[in-house]
Amino acid sequence: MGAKVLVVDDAVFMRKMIGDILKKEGYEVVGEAENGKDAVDKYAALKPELVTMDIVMPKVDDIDGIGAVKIIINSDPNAKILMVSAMGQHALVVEAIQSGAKDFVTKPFQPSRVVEAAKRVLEG
Amino acid sequence: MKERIVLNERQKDTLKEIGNICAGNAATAFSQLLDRTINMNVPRVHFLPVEQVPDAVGGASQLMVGVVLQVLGDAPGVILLLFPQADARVLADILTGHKSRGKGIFTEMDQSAIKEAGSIVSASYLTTFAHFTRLSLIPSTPGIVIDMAGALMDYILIELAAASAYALLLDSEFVDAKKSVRGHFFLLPNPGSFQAILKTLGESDG
Repeated sequence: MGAKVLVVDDAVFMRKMIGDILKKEGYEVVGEAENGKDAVDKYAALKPELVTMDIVMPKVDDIDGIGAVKIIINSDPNAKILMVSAMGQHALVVEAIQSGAKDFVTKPFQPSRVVEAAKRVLEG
Repeated sequence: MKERIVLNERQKDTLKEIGNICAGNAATAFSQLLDRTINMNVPRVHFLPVEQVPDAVGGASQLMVGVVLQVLGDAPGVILLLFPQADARVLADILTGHKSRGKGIFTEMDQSAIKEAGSIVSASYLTTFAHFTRLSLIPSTPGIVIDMAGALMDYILIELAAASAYALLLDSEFVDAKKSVRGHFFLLPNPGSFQAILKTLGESDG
């Protein structure tokens, strides 16, 4: 079985799309989270080897996507987080990388882009 | 009080040209999202009072699926991407890979797929628009509303407190080998935002 992945996105459609792409490549999707708070809780519980994190999500308990990155990295400096952004979110991407995220992909993406980025983050 | 904006022909041409490029880039984004070649028919570009928006999409009683985003930054406003219900059905079927259960039934997954597609296409429009205007334009997380066109506009004007008097309409038809999806993209700039946009384009009369 491939690396364990937690997929974080507020859109159920996008969680399914990313999950399906990674499963086809042999990754094990161990959980999904629909907001930053959920992501922090599930990261602690599931200990995934890779997290895909939507960069723009509604805040829950004052935690959004970047907030979740900061909390996860603070608790586990070796966490491997791949940001998923839309076009026009360069400033947020920079903030996420500075906060400890390892790489990013921009929506819309082709499946190969996600697979390559996941591999890069895990090997990095 | 509504701001009164009268665009001259040069300003209209400039906005239309940018609109064409925005729509072309949106078609590319759509192609990547659907992982198939999507062509776009030449869009209709209009500048119209907001009260005429329902008529521009087929009448106030026309059932529509709307993806709504607020624009933050240098020229705040609202983005509205409207799909006639039948077109939204086609889009949801393509995205989810499922057969429709009925024209007017949209599951949670259908709505999520349409919202995501609307968000991606809107971000593409907005990024291109921001490039030409050199303005910082940041989209909010999207919302989805399924209602008649008239009620949908009321929602935007009242619930989102959108203060725009005018809307820039970029009508687009995305077509692949088998199916087509019509969408109406509206940019509703807040008062002051339109002049800010025209100023950055060197097209302001002020």
